[in-house]
Amino acid sequence: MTKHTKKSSRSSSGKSSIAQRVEQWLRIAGNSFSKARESIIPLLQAAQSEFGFLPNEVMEAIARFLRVPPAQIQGVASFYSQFRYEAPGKHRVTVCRGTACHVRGSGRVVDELTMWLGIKPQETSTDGLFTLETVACVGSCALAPLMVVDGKVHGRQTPATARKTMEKISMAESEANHGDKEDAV
Amino acid sequence: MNYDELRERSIRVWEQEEQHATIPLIIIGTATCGLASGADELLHILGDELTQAGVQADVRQVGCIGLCYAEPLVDVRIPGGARVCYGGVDVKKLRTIIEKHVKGGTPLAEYALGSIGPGQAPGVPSLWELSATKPQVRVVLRNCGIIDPDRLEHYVARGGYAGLVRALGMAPSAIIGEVKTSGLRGRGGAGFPTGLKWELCRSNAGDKRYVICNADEGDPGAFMDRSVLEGDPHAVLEGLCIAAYAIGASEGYIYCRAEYPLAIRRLRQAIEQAKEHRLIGEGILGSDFSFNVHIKEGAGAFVCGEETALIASIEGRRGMPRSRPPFPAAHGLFGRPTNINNVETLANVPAILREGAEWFANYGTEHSKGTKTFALAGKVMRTGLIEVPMGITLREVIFDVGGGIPDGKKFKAAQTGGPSGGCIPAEFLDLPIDYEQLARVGSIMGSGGLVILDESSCMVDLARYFINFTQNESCGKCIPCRLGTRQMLMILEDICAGRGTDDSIALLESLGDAVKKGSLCGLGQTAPNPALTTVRYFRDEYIEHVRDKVCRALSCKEYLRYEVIEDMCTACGVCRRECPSEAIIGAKDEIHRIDQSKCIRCGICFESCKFDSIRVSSGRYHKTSGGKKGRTVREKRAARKEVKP
Repeated sequence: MTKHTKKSSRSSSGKSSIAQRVEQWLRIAGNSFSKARESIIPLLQAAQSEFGFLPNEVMEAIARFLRVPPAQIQGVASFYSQFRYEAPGKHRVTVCRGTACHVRGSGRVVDELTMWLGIKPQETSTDGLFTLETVACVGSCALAPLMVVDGKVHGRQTPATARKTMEKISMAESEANHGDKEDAV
Repeated sequence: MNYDELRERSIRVWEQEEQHATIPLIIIGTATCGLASGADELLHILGDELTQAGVQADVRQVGCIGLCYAEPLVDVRIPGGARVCYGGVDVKKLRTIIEKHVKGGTPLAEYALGSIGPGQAPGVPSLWELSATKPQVRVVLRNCGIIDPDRLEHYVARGGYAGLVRALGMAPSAIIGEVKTSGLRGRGGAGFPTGLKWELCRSNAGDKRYVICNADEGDPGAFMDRSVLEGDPHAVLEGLCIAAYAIGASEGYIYCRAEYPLAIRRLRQAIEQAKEHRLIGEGILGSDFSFNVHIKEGAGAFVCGEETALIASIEGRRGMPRSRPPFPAAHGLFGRPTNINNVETLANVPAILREGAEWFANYGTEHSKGTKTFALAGKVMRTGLIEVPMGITLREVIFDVGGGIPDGKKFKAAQTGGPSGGCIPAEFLDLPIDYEQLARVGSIMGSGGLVILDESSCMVDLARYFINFTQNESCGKCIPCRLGTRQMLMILEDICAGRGTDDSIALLESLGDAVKKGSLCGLGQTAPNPALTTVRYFRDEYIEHVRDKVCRALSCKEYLRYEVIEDMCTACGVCRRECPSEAIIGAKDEIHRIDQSKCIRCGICFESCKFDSIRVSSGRYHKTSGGKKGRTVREKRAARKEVKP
């Protein structure tokens, strides 16, 4: 089992710069939304696809834009499982937990990934490389069990095939890292 | 361009491509299921492969034809020949198909699933005559896998928008009458008569009305709506437009779950195309009827499939259902009269208007007319998307269309209706599928998920799975649903983990009853169904779990014991290397052994063992791994002894 303990190499920007980026984004993106309550969810979705997650600054900016209390935005966002409040890992691993996947053993695929990655579903590894997620149903039940890695759908998974995919990514990452270091030297 | 011109041009284009083509046509299914099994890679290399083979061919991307078990699917039609459908195509197969069929002109009967006319393909049977397809009637899925969903001409050439044209020439009340006569009922689950629903909405006064297409297909195990949206988006759009005209709505929403990005992309494109040809928008087809459509992406909440929750979500609120009345037909989106129909319901509407109500009512049973699509999944040979006339029996669906249960195992139950439905045991295999019959046995039609379970599926575990889902998705408004599903889950977890008692089962039943009675919306009212039907039909299994601490399906971990069968161990070492908890002790030429104190019962040893050397057991139930014969350690030792003097 490989535990990812290395600290993230990506630089975390300061708080003010996130606020600036959010303001900048909303100045342009805001034009295509009406300033009505029904824009809350589409705005949150647009923000998440821009920033990868919803930092507090986004909620506050959207609240100012729509002239509603930030609590209202938080309230809506927290109801829906699509929204994330922490930066996702570089690679997103999603295991389908639909019925067809369940009866064909997706629970064991999740167990295996949990062990291998050292994180529970909906968590991100400490090195920021992997986020493990489960979803209710991807809708490709005929190919159950399903795993989606960075948008690519892998059908008919077993614990072993899922682990192999992880090993491949992890290997590619460490090679790339190694290359970076050599470049730096 | 008016409709007649569009239709004429479309038919010309279609006939040119279908009948008068001078170069071969290659068709690849690129719906989500095709992509999941590698269709994108095939598409990626296809151009180069064709160039290398030195042939010219057109390439068409289509939606899901429903034979998901055989994905990726590649079809070939050479000029004058029939379209031959090849299943399970990989790169190697693709090269052979290009060489022999596209270039050489001879269909490869050994790879072919079937052919689609017109034209001949020697040695290949018609695709629609196979046991998997023969009992099917395609109304909703008629275009899926046939046309390029990105092209309006293909849809129009096959009769698309003819229903809308006819509707626009009728009085709205006459359209409603026609839909009523057809007997169409809501395909989203509840089965409310569609015509009546439209009439109720129309009868409510208001300066503005809305129609909504519910494409928030949240039932795990269901993917019919996705396939229709991906494979034939215009059919849904046309149905929505007809509904809007009949009801008197000028604005419509399609609420589609965000997990279906391809469906959303196809819908957006279809709306643009329809606008361009004035099939939606201002002054549709020269009439004074105007109708605009917006797409709203869901944000991941199962409860938003419920009408009032869906409306709340479009309005930008938390998607919580409210008590009814007032029904959305009177007080819906933004307080206006609103009609909500499911994707499949709407996709039926153009056909009803085009072919007539009587034609539609020919299919089905007395109170359930037409056809129903099902997402056939789970432990069945031919998983995929099917459309069958109402009234067909479960047996026909599972054993004829689905090809039976794989690996020679026995059918145990069919789960219909997702987390709101129930498990139907083998004794009801001859039950005709319609709304009433399914309700009679404690399940529901639901949106059409049909998950087949075999003897290796534990019914207690399945109930736990569904209750876990619904308790996660409960919006929390009604206390019996919020707390009741949580308690039901804890009881089921206890039973699965060896902590159950006789009282657990009775408590589960009474709680389930309370949750059903004490919840406002469909989610809570149906959430206990999976638990209640499994207790009803599989009580033996529950009793085994609580009294004997045994799981006959060999599924509940706590009740399992993994062992090496000493006589059969070959000492190959695979299980030892694969075991994640280092519980397997052994070495070269030494019989392996599982340290029970370390075993986490993950089953990886069982799966990785190619030989029949690992046994998993629970009480008197057991099974053995692998099946391959190998030289066991004991045989090797015996052989060595013989050699020695």
